[in-house]
Amino acid sequence: MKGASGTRGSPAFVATPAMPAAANWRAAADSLSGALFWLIPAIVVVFLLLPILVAVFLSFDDRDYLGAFPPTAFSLRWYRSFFDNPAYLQGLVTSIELALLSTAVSLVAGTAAAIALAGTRWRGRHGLEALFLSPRLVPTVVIGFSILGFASALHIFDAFTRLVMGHVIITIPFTIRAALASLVGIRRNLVEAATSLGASPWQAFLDVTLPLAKTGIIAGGLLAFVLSFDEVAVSLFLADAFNQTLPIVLVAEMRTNLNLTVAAIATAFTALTVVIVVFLDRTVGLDNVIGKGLYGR
Amino acid sequence: MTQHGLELDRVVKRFGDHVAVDEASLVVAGGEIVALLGPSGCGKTTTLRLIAGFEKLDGGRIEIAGKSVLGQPPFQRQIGLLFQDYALFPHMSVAQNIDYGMRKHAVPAAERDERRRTLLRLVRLEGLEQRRPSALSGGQQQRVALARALAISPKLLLLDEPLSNLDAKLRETLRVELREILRSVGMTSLIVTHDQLEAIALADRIALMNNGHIAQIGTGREIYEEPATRFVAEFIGQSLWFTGKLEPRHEAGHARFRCDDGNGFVVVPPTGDTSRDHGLAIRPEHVHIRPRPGDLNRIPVDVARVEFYGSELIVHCRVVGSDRMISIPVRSDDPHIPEAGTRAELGVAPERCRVIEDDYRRGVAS
Repeated sequence: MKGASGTRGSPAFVATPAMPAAANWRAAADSLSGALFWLIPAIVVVFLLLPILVAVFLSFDDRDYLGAFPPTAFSLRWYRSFFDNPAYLQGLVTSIELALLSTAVSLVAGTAAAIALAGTRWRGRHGLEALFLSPRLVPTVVIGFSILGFASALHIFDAFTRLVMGHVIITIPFTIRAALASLVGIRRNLVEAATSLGASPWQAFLDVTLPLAKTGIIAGGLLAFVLSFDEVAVSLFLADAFNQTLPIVLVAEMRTNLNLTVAAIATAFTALTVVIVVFLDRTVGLDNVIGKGLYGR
Repeated sequence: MTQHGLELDRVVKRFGDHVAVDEASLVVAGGEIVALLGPSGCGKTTTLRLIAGFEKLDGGRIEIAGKSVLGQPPFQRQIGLLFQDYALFPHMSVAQNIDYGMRKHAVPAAERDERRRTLLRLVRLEGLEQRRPSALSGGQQQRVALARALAISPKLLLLDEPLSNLDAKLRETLRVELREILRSVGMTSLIVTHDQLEAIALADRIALMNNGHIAQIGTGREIYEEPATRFVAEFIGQSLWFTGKLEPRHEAGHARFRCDDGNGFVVVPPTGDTSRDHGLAIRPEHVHIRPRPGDLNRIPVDVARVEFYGSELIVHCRVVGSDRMISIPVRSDDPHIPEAGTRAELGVAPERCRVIEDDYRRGVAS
């Protein structure tokens, strides 16, 4: 496919009467590879998005049993049923508290780490950055299990504290990366200019660095909030009966009595996530918060 | 006598094994504008950063307005800094940029408004107070940066390559403008630049820097006419350089310089120290294509090529019996322009032959 796409477009025009068969064959292979080039991603996108669309449709289903798709009547009954179930509501409260607290911790620690990383020309910087970002590479199940063991070794038996620990670990790479992306873009000259004008290093940080990095830091915080809110695997290890996050409650409900409240919550989650992701992309660019090498730009 | 505006005394800065600034000494009088001129990597930017306090001194002393700034952090030095890329705060308006330093220095609001208005008038940017820097042209940004630096009533103004970020046409207009502004505020200023024209146009005196030390200090004319070393002679303007030895024998107020390629020159005995490696520097415009009376030095040459540049021609000659090329400018209305392929005789007066130190060889020899 690579070879064929490398000569895309040209074989049909350079074909000479002397060797029409080969040229035709190459032209055919070329258009086939061109079609596959679009078809494969299209299939992937369809398979990723279709289930979500199905869930969205089902969440508005008026039937009180899991019937055949598509629904025959629509209502908001599953959205209402969410508020009738105290377990869901308690889970929502726990999830919001947890997401707020772990985002706050992750934001402060992550921004501090990013400032340290951005402000140094020390050679070990890249290694340290990789270390800080490494929780992204560790399976969440492993993180959950490790935190559980670590917390008990520290005699921390409060489930909420454990949950905060776990959620900070999984969100901190994102707050670091987002803050770093915006800090690296701030020229050192600006801070030096503020200093030469009479600002102490701390004043220069507050007056110049922070306002310029603000958007990136906020973006990292939003992403951390969403990640914490959606998190299941780590929470499963760290939660107890009194500290159940919404995703955990959902999993438990699905096991015992499957109904379409799950679809309603999933739809609400998706909508929230889409809003935040679009906001992130508009403000700082999604590439800067997740993916792509930072210094290679 | 006014006190010194700025004094550098045997300033040293090392980065690892590399000595960036090597015992540089310089005195700038109060209100004087001095250009620190040199090729890239000569240590001029490091010197500026040392004065501003962004780098720590490894040796020597820096005094601003008569007081040592040793150990003083940059935010206490009260130095106005004009950055090469202006470094305007992008999230603040023009007025906020200018006010920033005054707020940090606790200038009362009324005086702040007054000073801002005066400065905006000085840099001719009235009416643009509420603009963001991104909505200004390069030249306007530079003037905002200058107003911001002047707003703190600095004891010293440092300008880092002030015109290098502008395109060539704009640079010439702004050079004149910047000079007028600097003259009118009468502030002690040090301009770091690699551009001779910028240095000559803006500064009262030029300090030429090379390899971390100051090679020569003087007005543009002094440096051009009496270069102290080979580096100076070749960095400022153009020079023909001949390596050789000064002969000890003097005759009738003249000495002889014996070039390594066998040619000899009659020169005026140098007043300076000739114990170090030295050589002979001649400005090309002092070489005459038809010897004049008093041109005791005659050099037979073959004319290799004549290039036409409008008001001027460049005649490229090869010294007879050697590979040495000499290129000299001739006015195009000169009635005696030699033709390529002919033989000619060049003339140089002894007073125009300068025997000076060869600082290129010093490094090798020592």
